[in-house]
Amino acid sequence: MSPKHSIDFCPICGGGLCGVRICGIQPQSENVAVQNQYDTAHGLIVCDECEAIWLEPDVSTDHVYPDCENAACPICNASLWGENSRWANADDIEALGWTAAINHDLDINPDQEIA
Amino acid sequence: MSDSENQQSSGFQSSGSGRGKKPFGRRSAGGIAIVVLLAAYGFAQPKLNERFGWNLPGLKQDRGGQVVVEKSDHRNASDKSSENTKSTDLKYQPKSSQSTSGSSSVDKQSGNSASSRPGDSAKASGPLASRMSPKKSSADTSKNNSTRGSPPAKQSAKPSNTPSADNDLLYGLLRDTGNKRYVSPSGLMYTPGSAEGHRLEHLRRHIVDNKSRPVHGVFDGEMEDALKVIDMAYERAKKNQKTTKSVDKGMTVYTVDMGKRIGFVGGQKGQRNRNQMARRVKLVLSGNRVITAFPL
Ligand SMILES: [Zn+2]
Ligand SMILES: [Zn+2]
Repeated sequence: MSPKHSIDFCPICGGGLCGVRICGIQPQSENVAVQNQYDTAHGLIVCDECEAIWLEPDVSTDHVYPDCENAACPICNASLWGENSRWANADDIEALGWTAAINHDLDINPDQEIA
Repeated sequence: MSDSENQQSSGFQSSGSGRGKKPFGRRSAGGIAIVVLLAAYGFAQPKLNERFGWNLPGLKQDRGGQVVVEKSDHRNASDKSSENTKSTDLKYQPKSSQSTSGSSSVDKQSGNSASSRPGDSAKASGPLASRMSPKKSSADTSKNNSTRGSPPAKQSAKPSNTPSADNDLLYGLLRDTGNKRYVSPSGLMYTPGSAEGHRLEHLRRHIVDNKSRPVHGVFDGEMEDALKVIDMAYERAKKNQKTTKSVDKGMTVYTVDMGKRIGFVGGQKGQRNRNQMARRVKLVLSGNRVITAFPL
């Protein structure tokens, strides 16, 4: 699945989207009160092709790469693609305070995504 | 598939040889004209392919001296027989690349390499032979035709239980080294990883267009075709042939010009630009482990 919202194309691989990922959330967060859901949440910018990670919503800042076979969040060390993490929706991004960084030309409606 | 290729071959032969199919036995004016035309075609074919990224079939002489159409891995966009085949099987859409079942898909594939592999054409050919002379399926054409309104569905048009000579090779190319790890002839490793669970499942994203993305590189053909192109790209990259390379914190990014069409630029931007052909491969590696690869 592609990121729902991204800030830019990836400056490293050129083909990926630097999408906003929210990590540190509880699984099945739909059943969790919104205010609690974000208690331990943190944001990442992740390229969905080369998996470069930025800790701020700015690709001119430094980036890191996760372990390519066991990718983990550089902040909490949870699985990057596990159940405590997801591509952020608009509410998530607002909670992170990253709304202004979004390039809406790169938005992807997951309902329209085919592959 | 081979049927369509055969149809195309025979169609070409008959158009070049006249209805009687004895084009070169008579010394008639018509025969001479045909020889001249074939010579002109033989001369122009490689240039046209190079210039426009086409894959017109070449000509060669068989043992009897007959000029015949060379079998090749071309994907002639105007191949009507392939278009007909396209509609025969639209059932398979590789949703697995989207779902969380990516790794399990690979599990299944590695568990029984001769059957039930999504995207596997179960081709009966040796590993190196298949690497060097890929046999194209009609599905290639249909995907390239996505510019003309066909859905970006990748169809397998393949029997799921056809025995393969490549019983030990995933997609006829990759050797299983255990623990869901696969090595290609050029030495690339495909391992677990990525949001899809396995790099091969991630790669599968680049076998079909995705018009919801702003831009999306799509390989021509099926998984085995993409894997062969990626392997050839890596071979070129290792020799620094038409390759740009950057290394960043242990990650190597190659951009390799393959010198011919290997896919197209899809997504929204690609659609606006009529899915212009792609002849370069972007290859992102961690050591020899593939992180991603896509056309551009
Ligand atoms: Zn990237
Ligand atoms: Zn985290």
